[in-house]
Amino acid sequence: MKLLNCYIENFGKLHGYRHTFEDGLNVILEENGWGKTTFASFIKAMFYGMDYTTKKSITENERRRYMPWQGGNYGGYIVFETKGKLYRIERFFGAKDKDDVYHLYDETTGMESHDFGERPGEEIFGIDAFAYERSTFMPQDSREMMINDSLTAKLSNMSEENGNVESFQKAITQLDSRIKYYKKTGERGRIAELEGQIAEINHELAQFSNRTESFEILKNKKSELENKRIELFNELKSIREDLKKSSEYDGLKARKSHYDMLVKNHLDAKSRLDGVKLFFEKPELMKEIDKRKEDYDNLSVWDEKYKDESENLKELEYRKHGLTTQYEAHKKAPVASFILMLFGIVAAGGGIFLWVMGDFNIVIPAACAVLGGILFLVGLITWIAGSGKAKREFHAKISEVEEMIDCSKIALREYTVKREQARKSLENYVKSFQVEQPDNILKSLTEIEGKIREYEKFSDMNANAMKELNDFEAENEMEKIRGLAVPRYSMGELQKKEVSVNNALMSIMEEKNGIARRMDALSSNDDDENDLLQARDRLTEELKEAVHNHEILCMTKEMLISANDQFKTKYIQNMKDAFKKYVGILNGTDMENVSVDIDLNVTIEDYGVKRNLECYSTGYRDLLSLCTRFALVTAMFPDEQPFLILDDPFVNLDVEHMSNGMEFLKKLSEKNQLLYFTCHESRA
Amino acid sequence: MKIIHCGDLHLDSRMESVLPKEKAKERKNEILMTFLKMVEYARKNWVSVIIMAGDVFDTRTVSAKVRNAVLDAIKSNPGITFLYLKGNHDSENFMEEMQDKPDNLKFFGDNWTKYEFEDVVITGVELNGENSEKIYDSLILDTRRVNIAVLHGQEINAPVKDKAEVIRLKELKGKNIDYLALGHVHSYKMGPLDSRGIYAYCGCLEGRGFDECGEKGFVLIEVNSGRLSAEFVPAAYRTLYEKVVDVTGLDSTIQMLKKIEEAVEGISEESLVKVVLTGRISIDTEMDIKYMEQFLRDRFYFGRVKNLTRLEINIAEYQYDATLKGEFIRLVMASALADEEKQQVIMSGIKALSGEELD
Repeated sequence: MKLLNCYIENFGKLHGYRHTFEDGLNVILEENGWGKTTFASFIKAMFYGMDYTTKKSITENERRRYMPWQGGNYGGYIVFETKGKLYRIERFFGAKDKDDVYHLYDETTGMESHDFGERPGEEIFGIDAFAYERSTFMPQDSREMMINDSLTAKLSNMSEENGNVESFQKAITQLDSRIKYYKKTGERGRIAELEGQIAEINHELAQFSNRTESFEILKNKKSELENKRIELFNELKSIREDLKKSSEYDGLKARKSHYDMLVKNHLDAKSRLDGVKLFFEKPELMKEIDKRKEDYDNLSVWDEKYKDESENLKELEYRKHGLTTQYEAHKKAPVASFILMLFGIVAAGGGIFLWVMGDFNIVIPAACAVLGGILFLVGLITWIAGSGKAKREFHAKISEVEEMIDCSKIALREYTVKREQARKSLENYVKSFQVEQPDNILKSLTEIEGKIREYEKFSDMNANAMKELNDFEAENEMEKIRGLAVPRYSMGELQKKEVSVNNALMSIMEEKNGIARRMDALSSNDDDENDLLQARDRLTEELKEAVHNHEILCMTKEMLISANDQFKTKYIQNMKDAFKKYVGILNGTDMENVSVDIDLNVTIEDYGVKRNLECYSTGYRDLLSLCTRFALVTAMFPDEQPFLILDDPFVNLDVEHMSNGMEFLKKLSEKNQLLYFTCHESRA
Repeated sequence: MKIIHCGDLHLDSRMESVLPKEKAKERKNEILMTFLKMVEYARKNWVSVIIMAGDVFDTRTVSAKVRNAVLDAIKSNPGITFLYLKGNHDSENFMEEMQDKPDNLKFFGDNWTKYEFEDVVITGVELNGENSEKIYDSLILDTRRVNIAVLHGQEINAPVKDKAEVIRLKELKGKNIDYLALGHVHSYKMGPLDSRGIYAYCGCLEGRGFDECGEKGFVLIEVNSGRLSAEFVPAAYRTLYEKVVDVTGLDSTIQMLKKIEEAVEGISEESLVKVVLTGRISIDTEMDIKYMEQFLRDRFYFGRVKNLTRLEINIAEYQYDATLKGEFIRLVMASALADEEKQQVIMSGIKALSGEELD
């Protein structure tokens, strides 16, 4: 790859500058401050563009740094050849990268080309702008840089902000340090520390576990006791229900008996009523019975009347007889009357005599006197009666009585007939009933009446029984009464059981309370346990993070080492070969005794000893450094070797060494395009 | 009548693991204190019922301190009825096993259990594998009452098998529910259930980790003349925030901190703040996560930074990079490591080569 020509319209202090590049060595003799760095930057900007940044610092903001002071189009073009083809890059920059204008042309055809992207340098040289800048541009102090620094520094100079050079070794050292922080040999490090702390907590928790186990055992025991308690409680409840039922039983039994009795009464009453009802066929029977009773009463009335009339007749006949007798007696009255009067006088006279004599008690004379008086009177009366008026009166009375006797007889006959009729009627009536002795009307009627009374009585009884039954059913819990069963156990047995179960229950409650107290005592430390659990969670989280970080760090170290080895391996052999070639060119002979270590430090074996470049004279060292740099560049650009820009590399060399150096450059330029800047003709 | 709907207290549970020991302990105490303050609020505001919709506790064993504090709060407020529904984390309902349970502490069971307060009926059931399908048909509510139903589980609108804790909202429509008090989800959410009622997750009282960011509290329900209204009452002592900050295009820690400051502006210093860095950074970006975390911890009660940025590596850019860095990047990108590991190894390597502090 080689540059052909370029035109800088405006780029930094360079304005309207054209340059045509020659093959091989291009010597540019310009004074200090001309713009060598600017020129180099322009070439880089053509191949790589310029990054946009908002940083205000000029040193950090390349776009701003090279903005034309005089204004105008900011950019230019460059024509180059690569792989036998000519290209032109035209690039102009705006304030921001999106304002940039980029075109790639096939210089031969003049047509736009798409062989490369907007960063053709990456594709042509195989490295990015950063590495390119650090490799193709060799400032004046590059010798020191080349001797002392690692490939990373040689190639990249990563930490630009603070100006320090960070090395792979420092990175590995830091990684190692951090890895050891997490894990050190001998079971040390943060991970071991955390594991230890967790183990300690687990040990402490184990104490709690024992407590917890005890707690669990107690809890299980408490649970068992609770189940037992519930069992006993239910049993007690059942016993008490049985007791209640038992005590209710007697009452209920009595009530049931009473109820049964009421039912029986009702049934009896009903049965009797039904029985009696059968006796009576008609509903209006009671009225009939009443009437028949009336008739029967009337029968008695007839009987009474007959009897009265019979008595009356008897009396009349007796009167008649009496009167007749009196009449007869009246007729015989005077003789008798005189006799009586005589006796009367005698009796009375006797009495008086005795009294006069005074030999007797007054009583006897008195009695004789009185008797005599009475006899006299009776005789007198009978004598009077026997007179004729009295006879007429007797006849009238006797006639009257005889009339009355006739009436009475008539009535008697009437009564007899009516009585007979009534009797017949009654007889027939009672025969219509299922009486026991239908011939005996009185008895039958009595029976019927009895039945009627029975009916009424049974009807009342039935009604009462029903009412009592209904009232009873309304006032009592009939289900209980009907469903009354004989208790399984007697009251005594139940009471015994109640006491026994209650005692067992109390005992369990006591035991349970004891367990609860012990559980309380154990759980009083729960706060501590929770703290430990919380701490363990935290430490576990931290351990997890630490283990993860350690893994990442180990992987990082491993991969960084691999990358470093890969990186170096990529360049080391090439660099070694190139260095040998360049030193050979420098010395005029091939050099076999060259070594390049993993850090790309070059040593030369001289007199059997590997000597680094510092062992040599300053002038020779400078040349060797140049060879190293060129070797590095050769190694870095495997495809197309870029042009190199050397900024007065021989400023410190004496004439002899400078001459060697110039020869060296000339030989190099046979294969490489070099842009050699110098400010002094002596070094041109 | 006033009712508080709260849940998912997770008293005595462990905090987010990144919290330092002292702060974790403080947060636990703060959660308990928030619960006690809620009870005090209830007392001062004449609240009649506090519904605890599950996960009141979290651990197998509850410390005596927490247990006693909760019991004391209940016993000291006999005028408030505490309704306790067991959640999936309340594996042991120690309160149900106590001998001297306060009278104003009531429980729900495996079947719908009702508690009546004036014209309000509160009905709840604890879901398990056996009853989870049966609860819908067995819920019968009086249309004339104000009905509140309580459940603990995940609401879902499609049938899911073998999930005892799933609640199918559509099967609770038309059941005369005026308010469906739900627990299990740790963020407040309210929505319509049907033409009559609404459902709500009260969320938790305090966030315990950065997966529980935002306002936390409880729901205050008021029933007046048969009408129910509900509003969320923030109650948390501290709020957790998660802020996503895109640091694409930023090159340094200081630049990122400026953007973080903008994102966390207005957040109270009592809060816990997590910043998640996202976006694309370049290899040359300087980023000190620990420094950013320290910044947050100086400003807030606790801070954390999670780095989810992606390293933007255009491998083509390094194709011609003839430096060790280029070689290293090419080697890592071509390796069989996972993408995230590649990213971390590259960042580590670049930091090492640059002399920056490594993680």
